[in-house]
Parts: sequence; C-alpha cells; structure tokens
Amino acid sequence: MATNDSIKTTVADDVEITGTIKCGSNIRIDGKLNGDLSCAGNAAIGNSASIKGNLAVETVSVMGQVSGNIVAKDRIELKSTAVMMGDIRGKRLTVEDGVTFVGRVEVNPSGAPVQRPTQPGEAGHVAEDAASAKPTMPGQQRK
Amino acid sequence: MADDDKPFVIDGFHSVQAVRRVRDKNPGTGPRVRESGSAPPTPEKQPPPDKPASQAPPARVGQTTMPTRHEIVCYSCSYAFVHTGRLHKVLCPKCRQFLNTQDLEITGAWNEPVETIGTVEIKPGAVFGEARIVANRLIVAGDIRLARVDWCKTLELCDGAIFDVERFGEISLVIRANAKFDIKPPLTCNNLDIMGELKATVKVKGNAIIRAGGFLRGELEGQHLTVEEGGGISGRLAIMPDKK
Repeated sequence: MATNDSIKTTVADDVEITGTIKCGSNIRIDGKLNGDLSCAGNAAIGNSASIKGNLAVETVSVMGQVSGNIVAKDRIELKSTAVMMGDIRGKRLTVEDGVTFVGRVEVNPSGAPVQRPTQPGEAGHVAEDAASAKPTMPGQQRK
Repeated sequence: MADDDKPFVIDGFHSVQAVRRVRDKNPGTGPRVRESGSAPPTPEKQPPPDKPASQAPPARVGQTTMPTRHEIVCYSCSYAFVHTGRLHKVLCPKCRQFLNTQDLEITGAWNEPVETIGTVEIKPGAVFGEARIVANRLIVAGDIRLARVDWCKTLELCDGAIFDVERFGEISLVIRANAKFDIKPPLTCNNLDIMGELKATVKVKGNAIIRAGGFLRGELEGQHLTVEEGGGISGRLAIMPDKK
C-alpha cells in the first residue's frame, strides 16, 4: 500500500472537490470527493474521507466512506473503519472485522474462471462423490 | 526404639523426625527443617545495584498457566456452564448427571444415539442412521442425512460429507479446506469459517471468516466479516456492524 513518502498527491480533510480526479501516481484522500477517481497507482482513502463516485485504481485502501463502485487491478483493502456502499471488483481482497459493506463483490484471487460446484445430492446439498459412499465396516466407537 | 514401635507407614511426622535426627547427629549437614512457629527464612539482602535503573536487567516476568476453560452444554437438560481444567469427569450442576466426555469416531454404519460433550467424527464412508447426535464438535466426512443433530457447537464439513442442513439448528459452521458444497436452502449460523468453497445464501449472527484459499459464492448477511488475503467472494454482501 502507498506509504506517506510515496504519496505525491494529497487531498486534505478540509478540501472538497466536485469533479473527476485523474492521477498518474499514488494519492491520498482525506477530504470529500463528489465524483470519480481514476488512479494509475495506489489510493488511500483516509478515515475522514468521503467519496461519492466510482474508483478505478491499481490498489486501494479504504478507511473512510465510499458510496460508489471500486474496480481495482490488484488489491482492495477494507480497513475496520471503512463504510462501503457499492460494488467491488478486484483481484485480491482483504476485509478487516468492523467494516460496513453493502454491495456486490467479485474477487477471485486465483484468477481462475468461476466454476459452479457440482454434485447436488438427494438433499440438494451434497458433496462430491459422497452419494455413492457405502458403509463397508460395522459401526465402531473408540476413545 | 523397640521393633514393635516402628511404624509401618512413614507419614509426614515420622519423616520430619528422621530428618531432625540426622541433622542432630551431623550438624551442618543434611536438609534444613524449619522449626514450627518460626518465621520463614528471609532472603539475604542484595547489595544496591551499581548500575542505574535504566541499565538494570528487565524485571523477571512470572509465568502463570491458566487452566483451560470449556463451555459445556448438558445434553440432558441443555444447561450451559463453564468447566475449568481437564474434562475427566464432568457433572452437570443442574441435573447432577455425569456427562460423557469421550471423543468418538464412527467409521461404519451406526444407528444408536451418541451423546458426548467431546468430539464426534464421522469418517468417510460412515453412515449415521436415524439417531440422535449431541456433541460439542461434530466433524462430518460421511453421511448424516438421517441423523438428528440436537445440539452441536461446531459443525465441520469435510470433503465428501452428505447432510441435510434443515436438520441442524443454529450452529457454527466450518467448511474445511478442499471441500465444496452447494447448499440450496437459506442457511443461518452463529459463526462461519470458510476454508473450502461454499455456495449458499448465508445469514451469520457472529463472525464470518473467509480464510486464504476459501471461496464464498452467493449472499452473505451479517455483522462481522473478515476476509484473509487469498480468500475470494463472488456475490452480494450486506455487512452492517451493530453500532451500540
């Protein structure tokens, strides 16, 4: 994630921006943003930040409030103070306990196409090859 | 002392007397016995340290081992209590019944009720018939479709498990690694721990954890969600912590 040294652009907590931000490097937002954020680097959404718009980033760490969708090429981190209302799409996701999140998520760390698990059984929820399992030994209890 | 007076059992009093006799015969040797009523030996005074307090070695921290606490629910009267220490003999404080603490392993067909506050493991290929299961921890790799799970704190589903989720109450569910399940009916559980793959609509009252390598498809509603790096989700989430 972006460190303080590597962040070139900072939107302070007393700044409110209406419009689209396009950033070629790392950015930290502590203020309000009413619009979209497009960032080729890492984005850090601070505790006091409030964003109403969509985020398209490389990686993002959310500690504040986001009302919009996030699309990340690599990693999305939702810290414990994050309030996220929107959809998430990314390669990797980390969620800390305490987040508020309402939306859809598409995260597939392995990058493999999503396959539907097979083997629905008689009860409608059965594991693979389990339906053919037959007892071969008498019941046995041991300590 | 006559031979008849010799005690057959060496108790504490006679052993202390014997030590005193040895000490009286050879003063300065042997173990020291503190006279009754005297103050305990005080440690010798240490000279003041030459080094200042900042350079003194850190204080030695004592180690205390706390006995293990077990949360137990009596399978006879459903009374919940906490037992401290080993689960050797556990008596329910309400119904005064000794509880079975055995860990059981079922490897074949079984049709008798199982009641324990330990762990019950249904091995692959085993079939549990129409009987009652009460266990603190239930590990399932076999068939428990007909079983009646009356109480179970944690249900662990391994690859190959056959079960009917409607026969479970509200439990803590663990999806073991390499296990894949597609659960059609809506599922409500206390805690959810996913190490394998689960497709379901889940409502979690406690913590939902998706471990590295775990994958959840479907819907998740709850108050606490933790996703470890390497865990995956595809679906709709509604995580609203209870802000009290």
